[in-house]
Amino acid sequence: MTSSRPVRSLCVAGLVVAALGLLGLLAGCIAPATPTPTPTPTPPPLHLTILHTNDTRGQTDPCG
Amino acid sequence: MLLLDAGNAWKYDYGLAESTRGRVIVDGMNRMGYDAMALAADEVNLGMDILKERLAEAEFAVLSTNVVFEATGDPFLAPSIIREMGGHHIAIIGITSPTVKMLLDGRQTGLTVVDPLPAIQSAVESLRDQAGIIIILSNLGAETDEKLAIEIPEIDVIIGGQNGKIFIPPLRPREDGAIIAQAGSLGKQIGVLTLDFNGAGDLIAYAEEIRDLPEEVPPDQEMVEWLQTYRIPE
Repeated sequence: MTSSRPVRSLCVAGLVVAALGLLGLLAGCIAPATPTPTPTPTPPPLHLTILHTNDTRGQTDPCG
Repeated sequence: MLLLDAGNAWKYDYGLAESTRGRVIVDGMNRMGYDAMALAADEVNLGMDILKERLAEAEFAVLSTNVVFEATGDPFLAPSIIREMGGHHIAIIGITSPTVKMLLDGRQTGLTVVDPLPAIQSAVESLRDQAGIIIILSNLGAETDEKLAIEIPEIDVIIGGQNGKIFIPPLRPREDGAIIAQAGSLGKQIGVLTLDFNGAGDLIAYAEEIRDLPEEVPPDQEMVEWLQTYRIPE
């Protein structure tokens, strides 16, 4: 039986929509996954000792 | 722990320092395990030939972010070093007094001293992504150190000199800015600065003790024996 024109158009439109939907699914499957950034760990508190001198001016022996 | 010097250490006008042209000082600093010092006037006053000999012998960093080659603007020495301690990255930057410019010009060294404030600003900016804690070694003098602390709040600590002063507690001209420490002069004192940083690298507590030498820290026998190996020519 020969289909009428309107029915044929509806069938083509339906096939196009289905094809587009399938393409979208395929794109989602093959697209590279965006890596989840790994948070940089916060270091623990720091207790720091600085020994410091200034203007020692060549004094090798503070005893004189 | 860090062992740091703000400069004006290498001077030879008498005794062993004179007879060895400063070599005994660098040797001693190597043995004591200094981490870094800033270049200052006394170092430049050695003359470039002797300075270069002493620089080659130093096993610690000698730093200056503002002594540069006139022709290119490139730094004469490393401007800074970074140390990793307890998971924190600590930048140590050296800054040299502009008074050194006269000494450099007079000796036709091809070097000059650029304005310290913009030099420090630029150094701090360039280290922003590499270090969460910033220490300056400065022989600019306390007045200029205070200006640095006010204008560059990213700095955490300024180890200063030039004035022979002792600050207990350390100065802190700006509430959220750097503390400024200075420990006398002429090898008669050593500063013991204790600092507490939180995980983000913010300074949350600090204290300073100044120990008199040798009254509070008697001479180390090993160092005394080492010093005796140097001879003063007759």
